[in-house]
Amino acid sequence: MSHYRLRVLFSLLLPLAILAGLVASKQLTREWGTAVRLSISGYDPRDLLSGHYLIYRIDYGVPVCGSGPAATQSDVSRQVPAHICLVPRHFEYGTPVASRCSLAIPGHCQAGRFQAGLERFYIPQEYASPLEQAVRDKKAEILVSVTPTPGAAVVKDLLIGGRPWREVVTPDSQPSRSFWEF
Amino acid sequence: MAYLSSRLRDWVAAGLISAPQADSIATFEAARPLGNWLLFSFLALGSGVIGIGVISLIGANWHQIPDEAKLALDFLILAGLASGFWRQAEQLDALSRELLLSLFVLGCLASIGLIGQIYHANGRWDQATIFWATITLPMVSLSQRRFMPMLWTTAVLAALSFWFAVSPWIDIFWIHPERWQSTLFALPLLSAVAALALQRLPAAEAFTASFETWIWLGGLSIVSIADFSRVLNLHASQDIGVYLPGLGLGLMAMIGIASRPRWSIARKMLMGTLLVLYLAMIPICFIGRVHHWVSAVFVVAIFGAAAIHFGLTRHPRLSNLLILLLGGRFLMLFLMAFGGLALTGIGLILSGLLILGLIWLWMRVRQPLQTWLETLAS
Repeated sequence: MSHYRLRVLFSLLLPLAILAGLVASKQLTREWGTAVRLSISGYDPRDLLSGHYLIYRIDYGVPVCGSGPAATQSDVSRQVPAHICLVPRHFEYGTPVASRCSLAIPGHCQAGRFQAGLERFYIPQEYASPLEQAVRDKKAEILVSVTPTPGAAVVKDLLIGGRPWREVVTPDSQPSRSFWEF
Repeated sequence: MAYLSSRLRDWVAAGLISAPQADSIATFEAARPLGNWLLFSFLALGSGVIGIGVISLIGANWHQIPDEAKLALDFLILAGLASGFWRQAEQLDALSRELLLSLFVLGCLASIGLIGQIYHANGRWDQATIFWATITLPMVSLSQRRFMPMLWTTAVLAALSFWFAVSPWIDIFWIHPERWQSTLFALPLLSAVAALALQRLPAAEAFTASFETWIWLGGLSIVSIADFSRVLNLHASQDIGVYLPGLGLGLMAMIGIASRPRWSIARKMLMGTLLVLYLAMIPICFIGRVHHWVSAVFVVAIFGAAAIHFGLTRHPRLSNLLILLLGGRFLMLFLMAFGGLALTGIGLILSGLLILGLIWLWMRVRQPLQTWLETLAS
């Protein structure tokens, strides 16, 4: 095989292999991680639905980003690394350390909020409006799969009143306005 | 064709080619198809539209289809495109090769979107873009056209700018609250450093050209923004710290210009002057909050020098466009300065005479100046 052919082969296989690896890693976290339920609420009802995903605020059951490095930041775009330790449950700045916390959700503080990359749930367009309503009206939670420290977390499902959203919400006969129609 | 005929007449008159040779060249060029650039432009448009269509389809989020099936179909499509490109890889001029390459690279972006949707990933768009750009760089470098390298370069610059503005990791090296202003100032300088570094790699020619496009597009846009901010008396950060990363990149670009082996002394001086003018103008305009006359002088100098550069590098249309914009700025300056039409008219006539006088002076001193500089350099 010529040098050029080898280069082409490498160029084609590199993205395929990395994307396959990404899927495998996410799937492993989803399948093998510890399932944790966390309550959610929309932090701005007018902006709860953005395009085809729900955005929400997660209630971790402990105060987050209250004091420390993030609280003194004047720039709202700046992010300060932090994590939520689930066992024992507490909030801490910095990346999680296994000796102090066996199960943690890593993230960062920004503009006084803790962001873990779990604040978004993708939904089909025809379910957008009823799901938005259901999240507002009923007890909503996300089911998160978390791997041991230093760990990773993946959203597995959205629960409405303790049940998977697919069982609770029926599609809207008139799909909500698309992002482009705003 | 009119341009070619004109050139052929010049070459015949100069004795470079004979009249029958000129006729043969004109006949040959007239018989040639228009060239595949037009076809390729439509192919680029088509592949871009398909890419956006696929991303929209993914956005529709058909939950009736199991996640595993969506992922399997996605990888099947990518593998099909890869297989098609593999078969066409050695036909360097084939448009189908370029089309498959474009679809594969855009398909990788769509796949990242699909994976993000299935696993409800919440990463920032700049992180996804840098990830996409990293994994597709070897593939994009196989492109024989400008479309994909330009798209890739634009995406990387946009993502890096955003990342620089919001990433907490930058705090380790440099803490400053107004990073957006700093980023905009540094963007053309970063492009210049990248273009100067890549010029040493002949294989990266398309990337170099893309970065060069962003030097001019970004640089001239930011100069215009700075000028208008003075005209409108808008406020921006007066802290010199905002400009430190840009000044650092400017120093690197200056070293790159000075060490270019194939550039003439005159070209190095022109590019160096442009760089110094840019590095001086933005901080002076914002920190000094100078009168808009000062920013207008900078605009005239920068646009004038850029027009000379494009003229010398045989881009007459760009050169003419810059001169036209320069004229517009002159007009605006005089209208604002004098108010009345009579005084504006006198001011413009004097400016026109000044420009013509400078051109006459330049024509007189250009050759002796160049000879003197070359003697100095040797």
